[in-house]
Amino acid sequence: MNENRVLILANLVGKIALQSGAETYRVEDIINRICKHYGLNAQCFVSITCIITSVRNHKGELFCSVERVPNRTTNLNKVHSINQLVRDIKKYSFDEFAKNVNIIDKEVPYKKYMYFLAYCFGAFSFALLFKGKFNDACCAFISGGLIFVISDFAAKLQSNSFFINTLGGFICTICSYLSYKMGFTDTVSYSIIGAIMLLVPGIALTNAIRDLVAGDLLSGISRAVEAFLVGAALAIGTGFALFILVRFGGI
Amino acid sequence: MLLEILWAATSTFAFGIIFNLKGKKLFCASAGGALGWAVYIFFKYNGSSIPASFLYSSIAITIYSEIIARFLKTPVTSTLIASLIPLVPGSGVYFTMSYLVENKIEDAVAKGTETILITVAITVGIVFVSTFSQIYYKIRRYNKIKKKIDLRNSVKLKKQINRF
Repeated sequence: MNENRVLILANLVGKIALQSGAETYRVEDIINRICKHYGLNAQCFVSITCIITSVRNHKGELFCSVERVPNRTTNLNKVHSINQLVRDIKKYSFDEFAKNVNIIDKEVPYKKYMYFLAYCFGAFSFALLFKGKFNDACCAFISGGLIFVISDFAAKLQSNSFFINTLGGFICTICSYLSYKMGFTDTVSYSIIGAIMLLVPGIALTNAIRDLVAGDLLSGISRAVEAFLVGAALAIGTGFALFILVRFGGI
Repeated sequence: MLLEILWAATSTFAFGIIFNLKGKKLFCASAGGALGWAVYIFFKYNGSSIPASFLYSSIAITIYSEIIARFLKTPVTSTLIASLIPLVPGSGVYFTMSYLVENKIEDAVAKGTETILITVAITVGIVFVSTFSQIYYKIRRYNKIKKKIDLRNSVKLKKQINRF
């Protein structure tokens, strides 16, 4: 078996898992399992933006590869399928395994209108969950849709998540304020909260804690900082919009 | 109150779609969200403080997803992340900011402290359960290996006895 091919494949699998939102120790475990199956002794270091793997074959020759992970999305279904595939690695030959990895990599997520509906209904039910009235929920429905349109557009431009969250917080505050001024809702807060919940850094927080517990201090701390930054961006966006409204309109 | 639990389930469902969960996992995650919110409401109305009820709720959700993950053979995170979303204090962030902007500093500090406390409570809940599950599985694996070694040793002993 060619060591370079195994190394490249293992790093590709790790990259897919890390990009889809897996924890650090899971990525390390996946890479170690693949290398071990093909008889290589692997040492690998995964941080949130980078995968470094070095393997040694039975002759003692060293091979090393570094993989940068520039952007991350959340696709938990991919994490599940990759995890399952690697656990069943004994059933596949090398080429079959590589083929399956490619299939998972190109797996189609939900259609765009499904995401749109999910954002809308998510904001709708969050507004009702925090004791808002039906009208508040309808307003949150609209701002949820707006947030999806903005984040989709910003993802196409490949701008950073800080900017997206600031803009999202800003837009949903303005939207709720407009509906309040038109007399559609009684208060501003419930519809804003409903829409804000869509942008809150839940996944970064959970993964940060799980990484810290597993002992990956470096990536745990970087994920925690990411969660804090996203929360701060959200607060700045809403705060800025509220500041403008208080100054020029009055709430 | 039942309606609130229903809304928690639907919001978790919507988040499951945003996180690309499919099939059974989607429904399990939204059931987890409903469970978490039910536990939170139960403790809140029985006189626990708000951070404490968040702590109990996050413990319940983490135990639930650790169990469900073994049944569905998926990573724990796939249900945990979506189910925890209703607990994350988005409203705290908003109210802190709004009080700050309206110059009500004392209210802002109180709300901000509560938000931080809630985040810490959720964190402690997850850490608590994940640590104990890690220890539990390590002990189980240790016992399995020990059994194997014992078996091998007994076979060796029998062979040695047969030889003599």
